[in-house]
Amino acid sequence: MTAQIGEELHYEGRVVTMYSEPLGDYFVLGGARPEFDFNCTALWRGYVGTWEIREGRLYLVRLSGTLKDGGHANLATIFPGFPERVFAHWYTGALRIPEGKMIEYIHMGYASTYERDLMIQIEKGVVTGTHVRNNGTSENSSAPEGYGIGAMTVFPRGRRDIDGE
Amino acid sequence: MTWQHVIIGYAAIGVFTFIVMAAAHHFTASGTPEAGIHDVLEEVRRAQNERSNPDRPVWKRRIEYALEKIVAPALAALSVVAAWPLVIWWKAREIWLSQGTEPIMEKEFAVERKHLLERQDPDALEAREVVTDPLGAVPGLPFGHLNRAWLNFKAGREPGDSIWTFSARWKLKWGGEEIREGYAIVRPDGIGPHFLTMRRVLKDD
Repeated sequence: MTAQIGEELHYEGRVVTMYSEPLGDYFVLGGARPEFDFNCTALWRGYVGTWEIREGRLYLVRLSGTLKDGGHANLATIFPGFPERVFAHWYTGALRIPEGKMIEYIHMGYASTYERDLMIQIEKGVVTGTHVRNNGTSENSSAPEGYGIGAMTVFPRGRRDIDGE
Repeated sequence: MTWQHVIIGYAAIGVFTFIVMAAAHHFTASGTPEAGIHDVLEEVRRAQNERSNPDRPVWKRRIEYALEKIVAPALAALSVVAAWPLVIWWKAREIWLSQGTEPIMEKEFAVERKHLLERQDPDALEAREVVTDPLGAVPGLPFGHLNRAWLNFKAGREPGDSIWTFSARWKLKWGGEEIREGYAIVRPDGIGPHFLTMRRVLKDD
């Protein structure tokens, strides 16, 4: 599996990429999952969510994806009546956020290693603690900082102009 | 027949193979969504731009576009033309292996008697499981956004059934272990459906 595009998290004034997919747990726990289309090897789940930790709570504040029928998926698609903000009360576990320089790139899932992992512990959507896990120091001074993916294959489905130009 | 004829014949079969594969891919792809994966990638680009370089030059975007739309497909076409025997063998093997084989399925999770904790009063547990949020980002119902799933679960009860809490450790097929908790319907002759309220992957902590 190709390295995956991560979920985005707004945390303490920063925008970071997560190695965790809290919305996946919602579907596992019985939440209705629309049929997402996917035609990119770096995004098998078919959507990208934007999350926010505000006043110690985890919220889903934006969602972008494509449905099998060609329609655009947003928050209201999954959570009717809540188009702007959804409290992730279903999520219990750690949010893993890679930080620092990349130590090793692995083109699979979220397997690449970075110097640190910020772990945010969540209990039923509420932050209960944070800690940093040190994974070592990058020997390459020019190693990229922050999560990124090296390559992906996009299967063409329709035409679209470059960046709307 | 000269060696030039052999090369031309080889390349002609390669071109034919590529045309067949491209046509098959085109006609088997379902739908032509107006808003495709590009919307999602655009979101990612937007986020990356916010973080790194908001003034990313247009020529860089044009190069990325050329790589994605021209260079990558051209390389793919060249590869098929040059190595079509391998492509045909690979495709035939894929079709052969897919025939008569069942997809690999993870063993389905099921609640067992040893996982059961305590019998519950349905009204009391529903009152306890109402979710609230100061920003109003959840319906004030039992299990919040999962209320519909709960109602479906509850509707599966039959006369004589009771609801119990459970907690179980579950080994994932591809490694790792998680704790699963929730409610299960207990029947006189066994355990019925369950409703998951929490799963915690142990190795991520």
